[in-house]
Amino acid sequence: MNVKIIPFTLILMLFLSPAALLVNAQDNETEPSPGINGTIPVPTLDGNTTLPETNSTSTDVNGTDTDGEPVDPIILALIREQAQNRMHEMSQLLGEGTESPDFANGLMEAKQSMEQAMNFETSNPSAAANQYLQAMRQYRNLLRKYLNDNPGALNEFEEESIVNGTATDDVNGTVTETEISEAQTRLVNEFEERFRNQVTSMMQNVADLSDDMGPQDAFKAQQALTKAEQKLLRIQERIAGGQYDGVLDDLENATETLSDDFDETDPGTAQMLKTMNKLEAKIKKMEQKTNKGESTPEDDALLEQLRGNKDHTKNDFKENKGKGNSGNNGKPDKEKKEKKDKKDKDK
Amino acid sequence: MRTRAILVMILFSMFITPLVYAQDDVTPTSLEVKVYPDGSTLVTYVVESDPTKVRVDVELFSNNYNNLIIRDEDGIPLGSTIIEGGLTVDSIGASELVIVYTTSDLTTKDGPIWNLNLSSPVSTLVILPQGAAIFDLGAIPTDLGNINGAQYLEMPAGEIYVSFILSMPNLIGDAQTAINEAETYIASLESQDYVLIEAHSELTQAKQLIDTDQYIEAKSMAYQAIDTADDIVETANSAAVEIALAESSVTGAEEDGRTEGLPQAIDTLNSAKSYYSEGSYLEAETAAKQASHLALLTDEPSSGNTLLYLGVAILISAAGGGYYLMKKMRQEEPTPSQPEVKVPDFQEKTVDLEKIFVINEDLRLEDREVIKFLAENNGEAFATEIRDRFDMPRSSTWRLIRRLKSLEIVEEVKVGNQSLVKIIKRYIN
Repeated sequence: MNVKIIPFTLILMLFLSPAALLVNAQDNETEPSPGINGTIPVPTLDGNTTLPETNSTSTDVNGTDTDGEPVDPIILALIREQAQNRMHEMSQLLGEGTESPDFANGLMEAKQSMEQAMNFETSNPSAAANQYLQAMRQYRNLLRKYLNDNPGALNEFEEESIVNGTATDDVNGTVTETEISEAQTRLVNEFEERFRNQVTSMMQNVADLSDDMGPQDAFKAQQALTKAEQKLLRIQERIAGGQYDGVLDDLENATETLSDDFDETDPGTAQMLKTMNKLEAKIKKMEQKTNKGESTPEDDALLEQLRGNKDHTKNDFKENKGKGNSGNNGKPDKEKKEKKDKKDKDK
Repeated sequence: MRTRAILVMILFSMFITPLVYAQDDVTPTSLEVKVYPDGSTLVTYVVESDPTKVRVDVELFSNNYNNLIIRDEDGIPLGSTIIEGGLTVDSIGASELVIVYTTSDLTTKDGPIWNLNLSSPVSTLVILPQGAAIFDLGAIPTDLGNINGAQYLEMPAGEIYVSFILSMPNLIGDAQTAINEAETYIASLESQDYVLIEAHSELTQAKQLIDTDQYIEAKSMAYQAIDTADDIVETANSAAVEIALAESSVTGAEEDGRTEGLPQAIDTLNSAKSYYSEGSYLEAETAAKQASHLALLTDEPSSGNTLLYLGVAILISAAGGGYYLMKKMRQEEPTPSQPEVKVPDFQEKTVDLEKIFVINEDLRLEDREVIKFLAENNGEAFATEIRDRFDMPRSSTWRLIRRLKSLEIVEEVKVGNQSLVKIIKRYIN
């Protein structure tokens, strides 16, 4: 029996593992996450696969644009200019009338790519751009081969490359541990104050929406906020006593617990509470800035916008009360709505 | 057994499933990667941060980084701790994080070709070093242009790949410049009456190489012409000095009435001058040395043995005195008596004996003596002169020279039938 349970568990875990990807995709649905250096081979005109490190948008040999992304004519012109520069430089390097068949063929192939690209410019700018990139790649391959055959020529490039500069030169100043520590103390004080005000505002928000949330969720939300308030009181005491050790951990614990406690409510309500909480945090931050007289007209406008967003979120929730709004888009969940309608009919 | 196989397969599948961790506390806003000529990059990554959070996790684009500075939207510095693949930032309610760091992890070099490779969640501004030439792009940029002469590219989110070289050499321009330099240099030397046939020939070759689009070779040949011209001038100067010395010796012999053998010395001196005029400087130098030697061997007609020795002694003294006078006169003003041979500014060669003896501390006593002798003779002497000076048999002299040659202290140059032993340039100041 146990033997059967283990594979079942593992299969379940396998099925669940893509969920992590879904979580990551929440912020950027179509964008890959950083840190993965991938490579896609690019087919050349002669059908060979070259330049394993490149991953261009694909264009087939007929120049049909498979991506269909429009290319700005100015960008296309600039890419053409780059490709033409490479063409002239490589012709100069290898000699227009090079006797080496390899180089002569290479130059001819790259030139053909350039001509193809020019032909595509009006009918398919994207394919044209890709074809120019293809030509540049061909010139680079020729350069590699040339340097491989003529190691002495490398000096010419090294001589030209004597330009100084390293990234460290442009780093603006340094930040010491003391500076960070001092800033942290200030930020902790401000955050604690903001968080306290935020909890108070959230209590008011929950009270305003308690009828729409339903008694159980309203109670849970109030309880979560009260718990956070108590934790904050203890943190406040420690800060007042100048005991900053571990305060950051306690604050993190308080915010995370509040978020987890919100999750105990209905998913739609939890989502609304978290959105409201985030908006309140931003509002309190802007208010803090305004109170200190540090706000700009743009900040004031942003504050107004945030307040408007808060009201909008509240209204959306009221309008869609009990209909679920897990997408936090102000619209009820379709499936749930249908289920609810069905349930009502059954009744 | 079957169950075990299934288990192994499942475990294997789990291992190859990509590890991704959630990054929902921050939303990337912008990324700028500035590339420097040494391949290092300055990364400026801006993310929107959840203001309800005290700490947020941020993924970085490299495992190794330096000069990390994180600031919130008000420019206040924030602390952080390293986690796998990135950082946990003590954001303390920040709405925005500006993360700046330097790294060399994003670039690789293949010959002169640099490759920038990273995966970005947002549209990324890539700034290349000034003068960089792009050779490949992973995708079509959304913008392209120049900032203060440095090329920039706005690349769409995803895998970013940029291949470039710092600058393409201006082959035609460089080759032409080298030829112009060589031409000017050679012309300036020719205006000082040097004959530079070989250097001219190389310059012509350089021009021909340009005509056949061989720019690198043309540049190299043009610089070779300059080197050749320098070598010729050095030899010419050396020959001029030897001719002056020979003239002095001949004049001394004439004044002393040592007419026996004098015509040969004069003939050889004239040959030397003739060689010099036509630009055969090495031959001129050799002939001048022979003339000096012959002038020293001249004798008064029909004199006895006793008188011969006396005469030789007087002659040597006279030659020495003449040489001293000539040197002194040359230092003070140009000698009007040498119109046909131009004597360039002559600097006596000084042999660095100390260096020789330090590097070759195990030298034999006789070797040291010969080296000192060479040093006194402007760093060179004929093998016969060494033999005569030290009264050594021919074979011993030959072995000594061979020994010094193997130690790379001297070199041997064949001049006609004679062997000229010269201290190598390394030891000459």
